[in-house]
Amino acid sequence: MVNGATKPKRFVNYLLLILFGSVMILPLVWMFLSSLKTSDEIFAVPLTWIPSNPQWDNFSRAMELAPFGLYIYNSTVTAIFIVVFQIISSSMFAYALTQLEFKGKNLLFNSILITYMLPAAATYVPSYVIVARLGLLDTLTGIIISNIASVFTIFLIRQAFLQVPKELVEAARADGANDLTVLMKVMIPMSKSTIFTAALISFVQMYNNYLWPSLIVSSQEKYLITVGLNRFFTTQGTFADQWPLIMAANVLAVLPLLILFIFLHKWFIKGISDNGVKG
Amino acid sequence: MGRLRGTFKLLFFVGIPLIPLFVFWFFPMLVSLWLSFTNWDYISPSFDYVGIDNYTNTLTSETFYEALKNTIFFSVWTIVPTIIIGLFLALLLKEGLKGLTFFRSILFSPWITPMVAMSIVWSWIFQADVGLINQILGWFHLPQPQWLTDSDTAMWAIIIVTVWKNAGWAMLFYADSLSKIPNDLYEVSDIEGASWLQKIKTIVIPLVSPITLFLVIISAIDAIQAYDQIQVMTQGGPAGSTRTLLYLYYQMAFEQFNMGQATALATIIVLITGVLALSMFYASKKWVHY
Amino acid sequence: MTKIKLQHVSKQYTKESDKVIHDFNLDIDDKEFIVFVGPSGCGKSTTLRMIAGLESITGGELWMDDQLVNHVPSKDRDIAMVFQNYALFPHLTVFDNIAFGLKIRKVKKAIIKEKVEQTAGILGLTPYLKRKPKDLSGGQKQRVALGRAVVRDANIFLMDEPLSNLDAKLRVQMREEIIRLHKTLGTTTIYVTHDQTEAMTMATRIVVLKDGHIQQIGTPTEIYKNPNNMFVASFIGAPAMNFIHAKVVNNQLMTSEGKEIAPLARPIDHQGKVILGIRPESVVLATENDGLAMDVEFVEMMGADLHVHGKLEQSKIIIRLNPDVMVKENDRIYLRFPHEKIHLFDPNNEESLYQSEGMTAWVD
Repeated sequence: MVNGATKPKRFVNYLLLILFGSVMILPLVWMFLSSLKTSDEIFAVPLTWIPSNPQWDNFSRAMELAPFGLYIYNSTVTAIFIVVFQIISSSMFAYALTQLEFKGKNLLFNSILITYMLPAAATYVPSYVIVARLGLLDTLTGIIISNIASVFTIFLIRQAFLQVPKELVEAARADGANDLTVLMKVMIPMSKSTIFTAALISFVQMYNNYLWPSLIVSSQEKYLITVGLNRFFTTQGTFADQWPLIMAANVLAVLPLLILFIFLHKWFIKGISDNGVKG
Repeated sequence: MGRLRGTFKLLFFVGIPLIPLFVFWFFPMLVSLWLSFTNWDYISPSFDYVGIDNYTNTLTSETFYEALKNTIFFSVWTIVPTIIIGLFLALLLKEGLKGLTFFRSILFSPWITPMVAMSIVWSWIFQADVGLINQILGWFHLPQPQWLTDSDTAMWAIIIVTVWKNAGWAMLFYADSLSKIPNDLYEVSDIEGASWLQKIKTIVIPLVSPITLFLVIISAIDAIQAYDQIQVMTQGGPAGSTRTLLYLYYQMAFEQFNMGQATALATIIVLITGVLALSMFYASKKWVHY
Repeated sequence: MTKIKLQHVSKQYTKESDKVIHDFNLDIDDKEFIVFVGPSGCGKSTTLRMIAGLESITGGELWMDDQLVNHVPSKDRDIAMVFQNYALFPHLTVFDNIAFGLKIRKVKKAIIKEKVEQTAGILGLTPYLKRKPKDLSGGQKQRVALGRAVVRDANIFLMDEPLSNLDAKLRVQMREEIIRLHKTLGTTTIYVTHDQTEAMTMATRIVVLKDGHIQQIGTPTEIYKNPNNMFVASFIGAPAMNFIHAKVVNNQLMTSEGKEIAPLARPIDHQGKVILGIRPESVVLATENDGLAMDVEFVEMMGADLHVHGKLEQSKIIIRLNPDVMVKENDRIYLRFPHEKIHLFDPNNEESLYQSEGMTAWVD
């Protein structure tokens, strides 16, 4: 009755959570198990869950076929640069939107929100040409600079800045702080958790980004993990005995994010709760 | 002097962040619109204006309507289950059970994985002869579809992957929204003897409606832009059954380099999205309660 | 209309934690207006929620009329509850909010309409029926919450600090309205508040609680005139009762420094140190010869009264005087404590030793 937490109800609740939890986690578990199987085991009917003799060298064999370490490094570095630039520019913009008065402010914010509603894909052709004109095709820089604009990050940080008490800003100004000081010493520290969450979400999205980077980079040493992985899949997928290696490559691709998530999972959740994003 | 400083301040705080937004968002949108009236093929340096030919070609081609139908089908069947499952999971997590954080993390974990990697795993899971799903279906003597190689089921496979990946995201937003519903509303209902279902209908659904609107719009944009899973699992096939508008756009632009045709399609996609978003906002006045 | 009986009721949230309610015994008669009053965390809301069925009862029995209801779900207890934060559905109009319980109980539409309109009439909500809660003032919201209770014709009203979120003026107004409503409907009501004024003005009987223990049960007059202990004495009444260190020697009451205060009307079974309690308004001005010296620290002009703050020997006291009296800061004035107004408390257990007004407190 109190929160409906009677015993039978609690039991059903747990049962459903376990059921859904298993379904959600199953593909990941299946991927890990498959990456340790021999090609015979992976094709076994009826299926075998646990590899009888874990093939740890699947990982090193996959690494021999393609430089996954390099791909992961490329992806990580690219994503970090993008996130840093996004946070800097979005914080500045959010500061202007919340602290400065100027003509057409609302119009500007609304038109940016509307842009967010529009599919980014519509910009791909011209953006591709722009990147080409800048001479940045097949460079990681090309991927980085074309991803700096993030409406989602602006939106999230603006939301956090709106919640900074006015008195704090006024007190800082009374002490002679200029705009940059207010931004650095008041707004950003007060919104740390949201900014961190925004950075995490953005990092995950950029690390996982595929379509746009796949258009920009063409040489193997510039591949991001998603691009390299799909290339590996299309070249090796036709050979049945390579499937354990493909699974191992998948594990390699997913692992950095899973580790990140295991350590920082509460931040994904906290930032969203702190903000109360409204529709 | 003060005025000058104000202008400089604006240039700094607004101007700098606007540069990337302008260069890679607003400007390309306009250029895209302009290109849609040309027959540019990317390779040749010159092009001709062709008026609205690209649009008429697109709007009269069967491929377009096929892709439109697929897009609508895909969108509806990813958005609705994502939202229902997300809300349902959030409700399960609301009961204050032990191990809540653990379950929440598990349920959310698909969202952080790369779609490309997981699509590869799923395409193995969907494999008709030895795939996990069909083997499990076999245990219960259920029909075992061909999944990715059958044009009737391929889209469902793509939908399953998408819902699997996004439900945790929706759950997170709903969980937060649910935690903000005052407990005394539930207590009022307890005193009046409302059933679980009545509480869902009279309290939960109306009070989370702003989040529902937010999620519907976000998911619709996501659905319209879905690409990775289609590229990995089916490349739009079999027989075009999973080719969405965006995938068609990609093929036109970066496989056939028919930029005029592609940008015309892009404009149509933008229009559809815009109309959709606006009509959702408009309709939302009826069912969203702030 | 229902009688409620609580017998040895106790509450403990988990086996490891301490009890939050201890041995609660109370008989509530039909049509009574009972107020649970006490500081925050005293267990008053918890007790109310146990009666409502929103919290489980750890020990003891709860009876409504002649039925043991410990395990009867809320909805079958025939109660209506009003919450501090109104608990209105933000997406429903005033009409639908009031009709909520009836709709859940599947009452016919025509009857709902009639009843809601009648209730809205009683509470002056008729012009607002189509509005949403966000377009109402705090007082109107609480009226809607009351309406939701009234419309149900429930046998028991439970009110959990319904006026705490309102500003002072509105609170007085709503207080009157609730009293009027109770007079009209005669529904047995249990009302929880931390505000002693509400308790004094509204209750037929008050239950004073502290740390999960009942301190005293009685009519407002009984509680005011004959508090069982220093807690009740200080909690009820504003400004609070003064406590002065004193001693009893041979049935004679003296200050700590040995100045005579008053003879006791009847002997008490206590010698030596006591705490003398006297209400601010019971103190009378005297002369240097027959009074106790008080050094005035500051004076508050309240309009109808004058509150004089100061020190009598080592004890801080406040007295309430006629505003025409000329007293100012740093004055020395002389006081007399009429013996029929004197309370004595045991300094060790703070229990009452002596109440000169002759009335014995209503002890359970």
